[in-house]
Amino acid sequence: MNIKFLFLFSLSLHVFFINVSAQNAATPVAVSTVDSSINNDNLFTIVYDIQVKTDKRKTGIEETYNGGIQTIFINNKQARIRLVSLMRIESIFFSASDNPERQVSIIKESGKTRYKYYLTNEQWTLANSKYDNDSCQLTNDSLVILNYLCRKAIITLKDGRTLTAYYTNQLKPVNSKIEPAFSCIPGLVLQYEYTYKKGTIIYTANKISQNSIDNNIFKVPVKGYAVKKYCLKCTTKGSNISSNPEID
Amino acid sequence: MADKHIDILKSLRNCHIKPPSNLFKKIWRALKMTNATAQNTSFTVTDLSGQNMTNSGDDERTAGEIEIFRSLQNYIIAPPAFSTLKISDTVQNSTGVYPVRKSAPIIRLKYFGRVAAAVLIIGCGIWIYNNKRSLKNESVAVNVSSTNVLSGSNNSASANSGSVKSESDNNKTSKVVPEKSALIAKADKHNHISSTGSLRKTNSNGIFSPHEKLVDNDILLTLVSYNYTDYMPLLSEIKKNNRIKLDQFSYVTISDKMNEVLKKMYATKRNNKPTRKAKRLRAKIEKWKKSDEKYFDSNSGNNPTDVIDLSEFIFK
Repeated sequence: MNIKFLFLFSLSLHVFFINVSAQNAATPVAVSTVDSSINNDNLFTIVYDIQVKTDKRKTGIEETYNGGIQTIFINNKQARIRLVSLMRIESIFFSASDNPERQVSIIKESGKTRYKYYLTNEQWTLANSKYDNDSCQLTNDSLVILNYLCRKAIITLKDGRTLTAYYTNQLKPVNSKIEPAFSCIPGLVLQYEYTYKKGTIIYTANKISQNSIDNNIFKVPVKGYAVKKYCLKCTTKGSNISSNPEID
Repeated sequence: MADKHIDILKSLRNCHIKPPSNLFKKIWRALKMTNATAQNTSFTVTDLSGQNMTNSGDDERTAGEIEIFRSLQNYIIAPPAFSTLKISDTVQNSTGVYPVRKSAPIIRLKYFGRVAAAVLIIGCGIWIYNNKRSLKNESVAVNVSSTNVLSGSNNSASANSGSVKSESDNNKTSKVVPEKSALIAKADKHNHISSTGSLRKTNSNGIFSPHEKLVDNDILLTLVSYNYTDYMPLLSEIKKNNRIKLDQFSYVTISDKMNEVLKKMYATKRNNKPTRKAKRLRAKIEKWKKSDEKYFDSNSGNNPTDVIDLSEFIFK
């Protein structure tokens, strides 16, 4: 009788401790609550670190993008995406210009031949048509990035390609014009990755800021850039690059 | 050797040789023959062993002579003080053999003393090396030519204490007089990457200082445009900081693989000319540059800021 009692008591103690340890393990990491102060429609900066993973033994061109950053600046109705890497520095400006021909400006800031070209909203939409009608599968898998609890989403494009994104509901998503790939995601994407052949490229948010942004950040540079006419899927080389830099 | 000499001398000092038995008799007879031929005297000689030697006829000795002989027999001459140095000098003068002198006692450093000495020597070495290196760095000049300063131009992003702020001093293109024109890369003829453009270096924090510029506003071009000998300090800086900071909001982390490529690209032969492998890598980087331009700049609609376009280019 006593032996049975002792056995049952020890068993119950054992089960109790297992439960406690399991609860401790399942305790979520302290994450920030919904940050209503960040309204990324008005003022917002997010910096993504670019990480390239590949199985290739030899060092390839991917290493020139590995370690780069991509920054999104948003200020009221203006926005700018800026890629800074070893290989190239490039920006896309989204302006609220009255000129419908210059709604989007793409500027190549680095290299010998620096150029810019302007796009209408339609042209920009067309350039990102691969993301039209993409579908998002929201999962319960979670990840904490910059103290924000993020959920995993799998974005499937109409041609079958898939992107994996981790988003947080605590921050508002970026306008779909700026980030057309994430138009179906109900929050701000803090990490996304794409795998192609032997490699994976991962963008991870490194910094989110709501500090004031100088207006010059959103000004399209004027001097020193050749102006190209945008022509989607053009094959002609150099014919559409003006020889003289534009002087506004 | 000296010890051997001393042993011989000691053994010589203790040496006793018994004279032949009739020697004294013969000597005495000879003396008698020369000095006392006139005197007809006879005396008894006692040999050293105390035995009376009686000579018949001429062996009659006076009591005085016997007394003399006894006193002589008991006469002891004290030897001079034993001086090894004098003896060895005498031996040296006579034989020309120099005895081995004992070496001076060595003051042995204790363990911590040795460690301290080693640390001091290493420290001095490091200081000399650093001093040389800093002198070399100081001699690196920067040739400024372009007007597009990444951190200062309108299209750049910089932040001051949390605020994103662009610098308006893009026109302040202070021209630094190059102290060393050799900074312009000595690239081979086929390499247009470094044949033109100016050079720059990072400061101690790995940040391109605002007064200096990127070659064609291009980080890769800038990195490959260094002189072969001047790249090493930059490389060590990159390795230490692991990133190149352009301004407070823009930076590029150089991966280990890329760092290795750049390091190999600056490998030189004994004559300070680039190795064949270095040339090949330089050409390879140029090829990357061209393929990148072809993919993204040829109006094909490919967008490097788009994750899919970029991935399908770099992993193709």
